[in-house]
Amino acid sequence: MLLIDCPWCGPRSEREFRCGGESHIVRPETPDAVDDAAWADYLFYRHNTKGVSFERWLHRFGCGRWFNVARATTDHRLAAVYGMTDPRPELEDGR
Amino acid sequence: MAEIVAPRTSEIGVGIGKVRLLADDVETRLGAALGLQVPAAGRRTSNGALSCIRQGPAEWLLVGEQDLVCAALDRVAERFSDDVCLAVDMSDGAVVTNLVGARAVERLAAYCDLDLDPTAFGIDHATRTRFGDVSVTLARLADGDSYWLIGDQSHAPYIDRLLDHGAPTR
Amino acid sequence: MSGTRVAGGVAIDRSHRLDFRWAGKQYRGFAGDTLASALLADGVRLFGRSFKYHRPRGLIAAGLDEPNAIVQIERGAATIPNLKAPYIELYDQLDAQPVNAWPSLGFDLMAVNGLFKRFIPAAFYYKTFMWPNWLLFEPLIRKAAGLGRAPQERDPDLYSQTSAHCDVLVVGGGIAGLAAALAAGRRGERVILATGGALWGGRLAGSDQLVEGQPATDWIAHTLAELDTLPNVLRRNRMLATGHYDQGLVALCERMTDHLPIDARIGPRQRLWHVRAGQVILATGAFERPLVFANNDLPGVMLAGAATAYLHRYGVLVGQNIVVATNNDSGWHAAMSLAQGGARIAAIVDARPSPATSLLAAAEALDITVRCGTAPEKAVGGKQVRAVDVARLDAASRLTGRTERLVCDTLLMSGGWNPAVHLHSQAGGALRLDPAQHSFMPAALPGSPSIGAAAGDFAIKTSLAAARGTEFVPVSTPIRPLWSLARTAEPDPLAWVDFQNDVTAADVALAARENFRSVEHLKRYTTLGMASDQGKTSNVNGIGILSQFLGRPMEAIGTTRFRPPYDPTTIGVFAGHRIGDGLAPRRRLALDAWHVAAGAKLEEYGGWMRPVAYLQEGETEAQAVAREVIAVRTRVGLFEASPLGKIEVKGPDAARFLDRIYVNTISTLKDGRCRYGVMLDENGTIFDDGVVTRLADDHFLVGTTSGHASAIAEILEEWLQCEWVDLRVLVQDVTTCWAVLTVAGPKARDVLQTLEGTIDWSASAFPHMQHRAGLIAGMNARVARVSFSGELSYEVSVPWRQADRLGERLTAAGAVHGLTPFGIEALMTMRIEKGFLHVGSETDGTTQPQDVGFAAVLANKKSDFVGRRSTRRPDSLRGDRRQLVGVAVDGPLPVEPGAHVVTPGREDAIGSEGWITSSAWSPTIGAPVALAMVNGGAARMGETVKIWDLGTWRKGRIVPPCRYDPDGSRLNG
Repeated sequence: MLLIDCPWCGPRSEREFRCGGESHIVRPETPDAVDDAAWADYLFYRHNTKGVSFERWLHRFGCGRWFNVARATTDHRLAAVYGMTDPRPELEDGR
Repeated sequence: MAEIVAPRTSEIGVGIGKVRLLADDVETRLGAALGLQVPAAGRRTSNGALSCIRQGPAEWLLVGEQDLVCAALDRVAERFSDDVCLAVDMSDGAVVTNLVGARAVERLAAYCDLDLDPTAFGIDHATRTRFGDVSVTLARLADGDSYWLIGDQSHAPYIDRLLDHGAPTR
Repeated sequence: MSGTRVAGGVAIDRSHRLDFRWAGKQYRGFAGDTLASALLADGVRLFGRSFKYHRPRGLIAAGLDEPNAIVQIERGAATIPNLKAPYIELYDQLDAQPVNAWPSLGFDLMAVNGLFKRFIPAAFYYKTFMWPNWLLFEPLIRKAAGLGRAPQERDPDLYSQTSAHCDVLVVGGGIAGLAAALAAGRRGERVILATGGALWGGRLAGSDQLVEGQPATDWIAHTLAELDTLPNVLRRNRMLATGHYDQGLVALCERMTDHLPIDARIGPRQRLWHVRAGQVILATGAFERPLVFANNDLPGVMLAGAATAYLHRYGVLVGQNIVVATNNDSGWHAAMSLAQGGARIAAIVDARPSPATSLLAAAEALDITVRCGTAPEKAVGGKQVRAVDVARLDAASRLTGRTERLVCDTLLMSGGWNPAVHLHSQAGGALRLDPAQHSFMPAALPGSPSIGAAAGDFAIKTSLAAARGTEFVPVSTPIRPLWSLARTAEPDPLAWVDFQNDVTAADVALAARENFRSVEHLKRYTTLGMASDQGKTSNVNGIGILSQFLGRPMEAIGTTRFRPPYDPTTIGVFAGHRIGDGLAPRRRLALDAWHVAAGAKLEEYGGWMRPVAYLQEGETEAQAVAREVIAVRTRVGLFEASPLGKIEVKGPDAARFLDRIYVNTISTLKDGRCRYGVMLDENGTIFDDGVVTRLADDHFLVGTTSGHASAIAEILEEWLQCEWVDLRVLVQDVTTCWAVLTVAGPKARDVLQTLEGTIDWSASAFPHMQHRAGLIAGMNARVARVSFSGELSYEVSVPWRQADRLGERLTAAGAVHGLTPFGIEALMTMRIEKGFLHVGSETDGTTQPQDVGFAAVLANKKSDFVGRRSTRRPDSLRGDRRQLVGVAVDGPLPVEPGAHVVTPGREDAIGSEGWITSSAWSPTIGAPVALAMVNGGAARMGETVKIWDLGTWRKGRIVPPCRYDPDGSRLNG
């Protein structure tokens, strides 16, 4: 069970949060203009990294805010916590 | 039935107000409307009659007598009438449980993952957190020894059930 | 010859005698005894019969690594199977029974299995008992297998949980753990110290070995006393760490009452702790390895360290004439301790050719026979050991030459020590093989150091230094590894590795021969390590034997994955309060008491207890429902709709936002108007439906299905925070602030008009699908004229605590009109008559808006919204998708929802045309009504169909969904 450092509330138990899956998924600006393959990609295709996963998390039982987390899928180390609309951070050596 | 050692009172109908704002210079203006200093993240402030708890970056809970809370909500709506403002009377939607005494922490720790040590959650600390499987606002009150546990009124029987489950008895 | 009680025993209180039962006989012990120590003291040797072959078995260990003495305690609802006798604290009137033996331990008929051992080795069930059908044999095999009986009644005990935080969690109450806790405590850190057993001091409990100049017992007592003066230190015994998770989280199971007499127990039986620690210090000790040789499972063959433990802790000498077989120094230490305690040590047999001269001298001083370079070949005896045959070892550690028979009543074995690395590994710590100890040691793990025996350090001085924070390298005398003792390369078929699952050294070789060469395959193929002791005395021996057999180094083979729980942990403690009504918050309506008084039968719908129907004197449920429907259709009814979701959405961009959320266009809604809206997920699936009301230009009230409000509010926030961050909108769920009473029926207006208030109820002033706010009988009210029943209907919302008052007023006003309370079943019947959608009944995970009559709405919406693109996939555009239709069923009874709809003539074909989604008896039209989702249904009006209804073929006709008032004149009245 993770200890997650909510940007607003500080470190809290994972039980207060909900994971929203992979982050930085871009919703097509004009969905009508994209083909079925591109729309399926947006809906379903996700990375499955052995390494750092960039994810959205919601502090559901706390401040109610969404934010981003960089989590190592091999050992659950949380490498970074950053704002919902911030870009993916540069991490040293993927650790 | 053995007596449960963790005195508490639960009330429905305590004045509870909810304020959400999208505006500039919020702290000063909100403070002026409420008549108290607006709290920082994870804190409660009070002017004796009205308390304010910061639940999120732009979200506040007001607690006090219902008339005072409603009046405060009106003042907030007025002051922020040119901004985006939701100032809602939630008095009928909430239950406030007052937990008192040394055993209170033990009861809270059974259902809540917060670090409740006074050095981590001191007087006037207040936050939304998880209690069993429901969301509550928890505040340590000024005497240091008692707490507000504020939840949805429809969860009152569930909260009571948890507070009684496995509680130490005489 | 067997065990006796002697002097000493730090755990027991000789002034306090306890009575208990074992295998139907009365026994006595002392407070502080375990079931094992008390029985040993009384000369009991036979504790069980093995799992498969029903071989007689006795204790080998003194703790939770015990694989043989598996017992069941108490009876009825209180019975608990699968407990290890050394881990059961004795209490007055304890009733314990052996398992897996009938009619008795001494005379077990199933021992005949042992005669067929050749035919039922490991994994026999993959190769035999298959023809003609393995299911014929499975029940017999299952009945013959299993230790203990599962309770047949509900667990009567209460369990609780708690959360705790500290700077340092010390797991393990031996010398190292005590020192670490004291050091941290003295530094002012918040410390939690936990040990799984009742005793403090670990392997040195009750020992007079010197620790920093004091006898161990004194050092332990002084340390405990000082710990108790520190308010920042919490110490608990009977608290076993069961799992080590991420970021310093450790789960521990505290046994609160298991050690007390049954009638003295109050409160929760066990409590699960979730401790979040800044640092987790693992002082979890080490487990001794058995030696693997023929008949090493005879009662009386035990681990050397266990014998010492029984002496020091409980004052029990395990035997009268003891031989010690060892490959390391600790076996000698055990022999000396036992000799000091009054035991006769017949011989020490050391596999090493040259043990330390100090050891040899000590043995000589006590006149103990010594054999070096020698190891046991076979234990001799029937139901207990009476001798051991030993032989010399050649350079390849194979037995060779003459055997010598040593008479004994007890054989103590020590094959080395395995640090308890379970918690270290669970948290991701790596292991390395120590070349001197031939054991797996913990490699460095940031945030969780291992100290003492858990780190392979068996020396007091260095353990204490590590506990206090000094770096060190453990130094130890090399052992002589003996994985399996035999004369040839073939392991002995009667040399036991996993005692509880009856796995032999030959089984390990069998697995390797059958190409199950990885350690994970070895485990599952042979079941080695899969019993309730989780391989604590067998895993490493198994890896060693496999290593020898394959010629592969142990570190290359590795260990199996360590997973929580560390020791079997009762399921109840993981449930805690989440039982019965504590499993999910169960909510009650504002007028709950009134509904019950009016005869309501309540059931749970979406987490709320709601009236199914109001049963009057002598009525069946069906009759009540029919009566209620007729009352609403002909007069007026009252329904509580409080669980309907109500979400305030406010801001200059509110309308734009809602346009992106709903299939329908919301921005064109005028103030005071309502619109029925459907919400999709991005996959185009219908997710929720409800009525949206515009209160003002920038202010909307979003209605959701009952019980769905907080989920929808969360979705709205998600879009605003993650995707459309520039929209200026605020969202607030206000569902439980407002109680909602629905007044429905042709007389609804008449009833409401008699209440004093500010709302104009007349048809022209308050048309259908509109909203008014005002005062009703002095109460703040919001009224929506919307209908799910199809009659003239008003949903009246007042602040929750004023529901009683509104209810009273309405009941009084409605009496003259025959106002009738109606429940969910009546409402569902009426909406089915009207062909109104119910999300979750007509819709499933594939249903899109065009399937249920919203094709036009979809086509008319010009701007993008959530899920729109997904309704334009090829599959979404198929003409033969399942579509919402009505089915006129040939009566008299309604069909079951889920019944498949089939074209006549194709009753035997595979597949169907769809299924019934909702069904009811309609008192309004006097026939069964149903809704269904049928392939291409919209184009099949009038078609005859067959319906497979719970084993009978029924006939029906596809009709439009709405069977009552299709032009809506009653709605618009």
